[in-house]
Amino acid sequence: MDAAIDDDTFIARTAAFPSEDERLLEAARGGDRRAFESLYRQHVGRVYAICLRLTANVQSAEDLTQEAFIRAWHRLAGFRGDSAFATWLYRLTVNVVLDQQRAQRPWFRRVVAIDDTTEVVPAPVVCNADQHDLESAIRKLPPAARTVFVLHDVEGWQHDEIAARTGTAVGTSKAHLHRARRLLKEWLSL
Amino acid sequence: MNERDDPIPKLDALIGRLPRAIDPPHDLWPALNARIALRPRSRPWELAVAAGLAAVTVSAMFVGFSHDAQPRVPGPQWAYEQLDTAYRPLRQASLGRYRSGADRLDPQLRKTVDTNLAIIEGALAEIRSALASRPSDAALGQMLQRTYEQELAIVDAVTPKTVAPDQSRYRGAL
Repeated sequence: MDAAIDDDTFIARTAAFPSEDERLLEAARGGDRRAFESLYRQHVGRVYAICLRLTANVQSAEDLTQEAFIRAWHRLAGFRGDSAFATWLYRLTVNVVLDQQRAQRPWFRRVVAIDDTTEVVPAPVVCNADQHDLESAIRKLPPAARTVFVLHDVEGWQHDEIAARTGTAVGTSKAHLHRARRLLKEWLSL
Repeated sequence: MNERDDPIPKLDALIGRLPRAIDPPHDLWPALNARIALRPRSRPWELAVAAGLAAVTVSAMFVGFSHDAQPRVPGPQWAYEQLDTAYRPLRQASLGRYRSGADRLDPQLRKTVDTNLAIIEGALAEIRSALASRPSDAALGQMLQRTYEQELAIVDAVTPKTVAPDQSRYRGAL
């Protein structure tokens, strides 16, 4: 398992220097790559976590983390500050992952996959599960169910946002979440 | 916290303890930095100018070609209307498919596709206009066909094919 950063460290790391964040952002907008590196160091853990949980693959997560920061670099000029930089970056990251997943599949599967009932390879049942077991179990979820679970339960998206972004119905999103939670409950003996 | 239709308290507690950030196995910055250095940032006005130049180039190419450098092909009349007729159902199906699914596309991708389709539409209008006065111009007819193919290729790249059209039957038909 990758080195994890606990919540307190993360919050302290991101919240302690709000004005510094703005200064770095302004410098990066102007093309300062050192400033952008600082922003990268500050946010890479969260971006990588999103990519890893959505893809369930370390190599893909690394590639997509890079892609997300490259897209962010090229779009910084268009970031108007209507939302926090972190919120903008994490949403952009989700878009990068979903775009890549969509590009890898024929269009019809992109639509159908979110509605299908992908066969599940059962994960070993775990007793007294902790968050590391949960991370492992998330990776074994069917792709569509994993996507909805991560976006809704981990990242806090609403079903209507997920449905809009994945091009599906709200009911479909809810069905995938229900399936994911049922599988995790079973696998983790909860 | 989001609404739960099926509360599983132990699962929700575990989710709450998941780390929000995970460090990558190794430092991604050096490779990232190199990629950024290789791809200079584009500014919105540069993209707009590039799109404009593309449109102008396409237009100039068609206008210049049809009026100055076109080869005159003697022989049978170039039946471009037949080409239009052959491609019409394909284009209608393809563009209809795109428009019905466009809302699902990434906004940036959709904007790019729409810009390209608008450029192609403008080029088609110019080609047809040139063909109206020079219907026997084979080169213009070929250009019309290639432009239709480009339009179909762009749309097919971002939309599904419910029925795969047999485009090959139209190639060289004229």
